[in-house]
Amino acid sequence: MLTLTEKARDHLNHLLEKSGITTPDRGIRIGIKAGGCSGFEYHVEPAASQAKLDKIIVLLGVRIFIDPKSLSVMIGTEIDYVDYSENLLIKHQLVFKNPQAESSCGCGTSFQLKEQPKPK
Amino acid sequence: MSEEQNTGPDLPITITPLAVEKLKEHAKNDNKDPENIVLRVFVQGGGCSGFQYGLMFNEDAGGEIGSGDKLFKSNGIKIIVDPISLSYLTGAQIDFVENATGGGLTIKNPKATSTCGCGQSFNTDSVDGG
Repeated sequence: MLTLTEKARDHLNHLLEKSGITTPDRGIRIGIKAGGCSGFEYHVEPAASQAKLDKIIVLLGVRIFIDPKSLSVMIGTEIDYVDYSENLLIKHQLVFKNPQAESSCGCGTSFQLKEQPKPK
Repeated sequence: MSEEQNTGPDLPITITPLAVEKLKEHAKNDNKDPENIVLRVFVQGGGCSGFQYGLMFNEDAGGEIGSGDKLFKSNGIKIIVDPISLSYLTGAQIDFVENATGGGLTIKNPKATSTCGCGQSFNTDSVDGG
């Protein structure tokens, strides 16, 4: 339901190393919050363990924690780490290729939805 | 190129030590001399906010030096800028910013009134004359 490219895996592992978190349950928490230039934005942070309602998805060996609501609007998303160095020499960014997103901001982390998720 | 080489404290464009460190790494990875970096900063039309920044490195930066170009030296890095771009960039600082979703060189521009999330595009309502 989610996929991760090898470059994104390397970046997330680097984030975990840099975070100083050493718990065996550590992982990367990914979620969606209201905000950003296009209405919603992705939030990424290293975490010592999952939050109460989080699903755990292991992608290329990286433990991803994601709350069910965020997961529902991210199903089918490929997470990539893209080199945007062309104009600014050094620039890399996580990019979420989300089939449910209609427009994405240039920042790569903000988007609008094609349709609002239906309540359960 | 203008003979003026300004290294004083009131440089119109500066670069932070962290950005210098990253540029030196970039030079080494590219088999270039990290102690002799030339950087061209420019502004062009485009991007989601009207203008966008660009940076060019070493021979790319020095290959097309125009007669009006200014040369500054900040933290050991030679910075070349053409006069029109400079009018949009006075007071700007080249920095390196990193967060969970990525990182890269950015230009902090006091003249930008709005900046796109990409960090590369901006708008302004003040431009220096001359």
